[in-house]
Amino acid sequence: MIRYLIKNNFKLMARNWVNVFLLILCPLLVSAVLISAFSTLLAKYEKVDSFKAGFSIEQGSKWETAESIMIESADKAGIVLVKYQNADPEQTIRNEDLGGFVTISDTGYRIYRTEDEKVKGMTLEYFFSVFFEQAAAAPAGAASAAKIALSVEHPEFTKAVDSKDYYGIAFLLYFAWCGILVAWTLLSSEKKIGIGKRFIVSGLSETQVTFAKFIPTTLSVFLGIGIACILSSVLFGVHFGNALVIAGLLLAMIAAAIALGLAIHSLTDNILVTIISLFALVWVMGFFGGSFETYMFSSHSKTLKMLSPIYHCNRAVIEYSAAGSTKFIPSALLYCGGITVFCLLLCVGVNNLRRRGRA
Amino acid sequence: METILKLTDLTKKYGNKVVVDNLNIEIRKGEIFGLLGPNGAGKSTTMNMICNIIRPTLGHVEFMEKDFRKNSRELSKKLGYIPQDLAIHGNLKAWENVEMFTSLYGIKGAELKKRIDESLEYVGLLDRKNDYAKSFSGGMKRRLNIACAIGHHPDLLIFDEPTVGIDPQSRNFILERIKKSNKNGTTIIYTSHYMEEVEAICTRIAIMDNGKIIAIGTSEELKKLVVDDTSKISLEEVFLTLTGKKLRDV
Repeated sequence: MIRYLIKNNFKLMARNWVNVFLLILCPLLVSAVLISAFSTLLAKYEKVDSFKAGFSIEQGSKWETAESIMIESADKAGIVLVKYQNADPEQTIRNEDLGGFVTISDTGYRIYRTEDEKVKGMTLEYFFSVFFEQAAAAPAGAASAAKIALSVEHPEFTKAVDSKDYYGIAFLLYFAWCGILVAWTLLSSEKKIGIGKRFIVSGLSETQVTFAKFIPTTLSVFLGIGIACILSSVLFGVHFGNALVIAGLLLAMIAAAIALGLAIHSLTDNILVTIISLFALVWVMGFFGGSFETYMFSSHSKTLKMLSPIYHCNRAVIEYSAAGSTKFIPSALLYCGGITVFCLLLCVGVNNLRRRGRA
Repeated sequence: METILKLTDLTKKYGNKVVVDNLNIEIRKGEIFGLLGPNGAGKSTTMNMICNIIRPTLGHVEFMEKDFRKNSRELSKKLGYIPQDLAIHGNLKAWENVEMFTSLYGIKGAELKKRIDESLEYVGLLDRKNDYAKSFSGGMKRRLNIACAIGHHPDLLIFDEPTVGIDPQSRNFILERIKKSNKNGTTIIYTSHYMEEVEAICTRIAIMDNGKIIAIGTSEELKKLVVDDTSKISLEEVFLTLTGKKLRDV
């Protein structure tokens, strides 16, 4: 009978004011800062199809040899580059109806863009910044000798994903992945008072003990993040899609995060090491998953992104919230479900072994 | 008298170190059995093996004529354990602590509420049931610790040094309650370093040292092992005579 144990474990976490700070105030503060900082960068993104842009290269520049690679790479990123040697950029944009223009020299490059085609201009800017960064990093002569491996993902701008919606959601999800923090009170208190002995004497199995922690922690984090979502919607105007779908996705994700935290705790048997390890792991997952750099513009390898559960969760929740549809819901649910089941089994298994070891 | 707990050849080894060595004890139903011993004698290990917290290297524990390990689910409901450490949550109210532990034995609903009040009343904390455990004094916490272990009405109650660090009034209260429980039919196993407590409440006493039982019997019988005139010696002197005066730093 773990109903009462779950209830009281929930009370233990809910009564800790630090949890309110960690689950509600922290994500709100961080997202407020990021929304503000990236409001220009992510302004008014809409889906763009392939577009034409002009370029010119200073005669005798070392970049002349990389011209064909540049055109090919741009083409893959949905930008048709057309060369206009010795042309006036501003006039050419107007006359040829271009999305932007780039003048390239040995000392650098200059992007010309118009207010009317801001998104195209920013896409061009992003493409060239990545292209030259990677070209500069390539070994000498590589630019002319071989193709530059450009890991620019074709930007799939979703409707109305601005910084407010992106970071307003992404950082709530990021903090949810760190949700095991709220179990600090419970886990440290249990260890301090040696409650495990009482559980063993009462005949409670490790499966019951694990679920008595997993369920209330998941609910606490879900409640906290839920309140943070409502507040971010009210305070910052962050758009969330269908509340039930988003709630379901959040619950699945939080369950995975808590199961992961409990599994690490069962392996380390130390709450501090658990939190540090989980933070490091979540940071890496968030790094590749678009928690810091938006997944639309990140230049990380697609494989690394796809490996990160946060990438699937971010895309599922953000795209669903902003555009009303996403193909990432199944993969996000599969990832979260898989992590939850695997980690809970691991947790029960390790704790059983530990109990036997003690025995 | 009927045997409620039987330890047969109970042994616990950690590597080459023998902590409990071939222990054979029968505890009779309705008695208060005291287990004494210096630090590192093997008392806690024995208690932990009785409670199924640790597994014996050899031997077995028979509780109510059944192998405890094989029937732990069923038998654990008849056992109450009061650990030396205060196994209560400070951020829970007194009644919530009792609810949490009593419910582990399958008690629920109205019966659970009744047992919570009953347990708190038993330890004199009913009027403080809505107070957080962290606001309690040391003695009150000790009493709450006991309340958490008795709500399921166990047949055997194991007290591991329940009076450590509390004032004489609280100690006296706890000892009175232990005697009352025993009068109501509960068998008690009691460990303590306070010899006068053990002498006052225990019907039989075992003295352990180096993992072995070196003496067992009533207080009088133990005294007779040392001197003929038992009025001239205290249990503590018997204990020191049998276990020696050398410091036990473990």
